[in-house]
Amino acid sequence: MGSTTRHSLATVSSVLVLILIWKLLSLMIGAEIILPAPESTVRDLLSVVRSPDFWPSVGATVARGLIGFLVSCLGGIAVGLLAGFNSLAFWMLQPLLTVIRSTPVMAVILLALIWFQTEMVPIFVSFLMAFPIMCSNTIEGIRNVDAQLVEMARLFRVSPRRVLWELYLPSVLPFLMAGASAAMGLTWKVIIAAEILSQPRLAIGTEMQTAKTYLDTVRVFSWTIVIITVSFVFETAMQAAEKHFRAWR
Amino acid sequence: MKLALRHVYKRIEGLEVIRDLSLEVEEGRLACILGPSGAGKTTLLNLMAGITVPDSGEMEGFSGKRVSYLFQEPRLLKWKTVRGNLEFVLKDHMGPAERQRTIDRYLQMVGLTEFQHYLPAKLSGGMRQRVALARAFAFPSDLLLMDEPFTGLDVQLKLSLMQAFIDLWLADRRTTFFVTHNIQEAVMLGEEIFVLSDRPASVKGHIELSIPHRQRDGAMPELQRAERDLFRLLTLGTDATASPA
Repeated sequence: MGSTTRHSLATVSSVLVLILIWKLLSLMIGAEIILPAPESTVRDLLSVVRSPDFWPSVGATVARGLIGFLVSCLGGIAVGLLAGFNSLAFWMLQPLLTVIRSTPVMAVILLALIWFQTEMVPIFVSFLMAFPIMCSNTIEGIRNVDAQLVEMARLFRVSPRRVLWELYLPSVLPFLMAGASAAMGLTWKVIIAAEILSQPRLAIGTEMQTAKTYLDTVRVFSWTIVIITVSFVFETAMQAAEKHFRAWR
Repeated sequence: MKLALRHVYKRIEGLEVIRDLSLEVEEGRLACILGPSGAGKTTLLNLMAGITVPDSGEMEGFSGKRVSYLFQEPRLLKWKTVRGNLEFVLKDHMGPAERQRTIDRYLQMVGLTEFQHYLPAKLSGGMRQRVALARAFAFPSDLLLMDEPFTGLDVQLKLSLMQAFIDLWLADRRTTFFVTHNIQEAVMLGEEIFVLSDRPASVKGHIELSIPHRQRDGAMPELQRAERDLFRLLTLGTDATASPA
């Protein structure tokens, strides 16, 4: 048996064991309102997927996540480049990054609710959470560029433009990809929290909050599975991209 | 044309690294600079490459020269193939057709044609240094500077790399300054050998070796005499200039 087959077998059996435990627990508790059984969750999930608001809600949440993610990528890389090359900018940035990193997500969401319109809140929150990650990874990448290679390129009179594209970029790229991967994972977590509190018209978070209000526990489970799936799809894509860029390692 | 340094002084961060250093070499020669570790040999190469400028003194024949460098480490881009690494330094200096020809030629000379599409991580240490050697020679330079490129290699590897270097060098006899702390390397490669003092570095001796490279052999009496002279110069700190071997 190949090791890949063995690994997938281990993954599949672990999922089966989890579902089994879930089933057993739901039998022991015996109250769908506290812990719905796996099969009723699947049934409810199917009806959620078939409901007319499903794709618009998922699309709206994904769009907000991606906008927040892309803005934090661009902003983080731009500011990170500045701080990576300029030590004054680096030291000026440190307090800001520390403050952003240590502010609880809920505090950010509450302030965003006061400051912005509903639609903007999740985007702003996911931007603020992912920005420090992208920023510090970019800085780390720049600082990890091999000074000996830069000196080599200069001695052989390689044009600065090519040094940037062919030396700096490939050196920094793995750090950017690792940062983007981490930022992506975080985005889906905070975006749901922000949507639950800000209640945009179409959103996975809004659906979850509504289900909770009606004590529709099975529906909360269904939407949780939906967001796990969304997160899984994007993280898998990020990992594949990351692996691709690391091929030379 | 001559390349010369005259009464050159250089301080780095307050430390006097080079004091009243003078040397002169005809173009097309292979000059060895032999000195103890930490004597300021790399600083001397940096002056020649134009990375730093002397505090005082004159440099003749260096300005405007295109320089290729062979470092102690291969310094290859690990995300580029062997061929890609050569392309990287040649692209801004040659048209595509000439570039391909040059790369083919030098890869063949260092015996890496079959490995041209390999990434550096897939090569052995000796092969990587061969890529660096090919890169230094393929680059259209007027001057080749080498900073202890054979240090830290095992004997077998070192000998084969030195042989590869001699073959490449004899093919175009590019003016070369080769820095080393190893007497054997100096007598196997140098046509002229300048001995440096401890820091602050100055030239405290100079010998010429006119034996053709291909005939050189560690057991030759002339080379052994040269080794003894160099050893004496290095260790005793006399100002005597040995007679040419």
